[in-house]
Amino acid sequence: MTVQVSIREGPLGPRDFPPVLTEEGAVLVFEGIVRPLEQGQPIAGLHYDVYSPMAENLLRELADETIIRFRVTRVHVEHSKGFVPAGQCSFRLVVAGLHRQEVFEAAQWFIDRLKEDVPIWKRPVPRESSRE
Amino acid sequence: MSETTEKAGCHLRVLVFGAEAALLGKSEVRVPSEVNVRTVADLKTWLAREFPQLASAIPGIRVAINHRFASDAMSIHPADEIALIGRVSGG
Repeated sequence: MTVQVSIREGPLGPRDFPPVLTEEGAVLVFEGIVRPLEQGQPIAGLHYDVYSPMAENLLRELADETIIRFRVTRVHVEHSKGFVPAGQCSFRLVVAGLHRQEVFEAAQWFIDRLKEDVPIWKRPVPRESSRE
Repeated sequence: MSETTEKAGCHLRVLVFGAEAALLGKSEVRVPSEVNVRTVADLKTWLAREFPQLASAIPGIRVAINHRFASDAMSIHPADEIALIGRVSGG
């Protein structure tokens, strides 16, 4: 599938990216991991609030635009909602293309746009209230 | 919002997220039917007046209508799903 968007509860599991297509020479996988500290304070993890219908639509539009703008072949994006413990993955972006240059540029652009526009909010969960 | 306002007929329902929801202590704001909110700009004006704690943040908040970002000039209709989109922090 050229574009795949998935928003799912909790931490993301192992990546499941389809086999490389014949012409693809580069596959970039970016994973966002929840850090154990937030502004110097230890946290149990992050809670993600997602305005789902709009977030999914925007992620799909961004992925479509990424493919056109950078001429990459595939964009798959996954994002967590709800609680994700520190050390676990909450965001994954996979970009595939013919060459590394466009794949790196596409991934950077996509992430920059996601961080500006996609309606997802994170808030730290202090370690002493780690139960969600 | 006063108790009287809460009990009045509701015209619009506005979803609130993130820092703005934390600031208001709620994830939804209801605009009473007697308030004349016809555009996004009207909504922002009413929000700033009704919730002074939100006033300074209003200029930086975007409004979505039916899951699309909307300009201040865009009209709001009773059946629209409206959401305040403040600073996001995904990724």
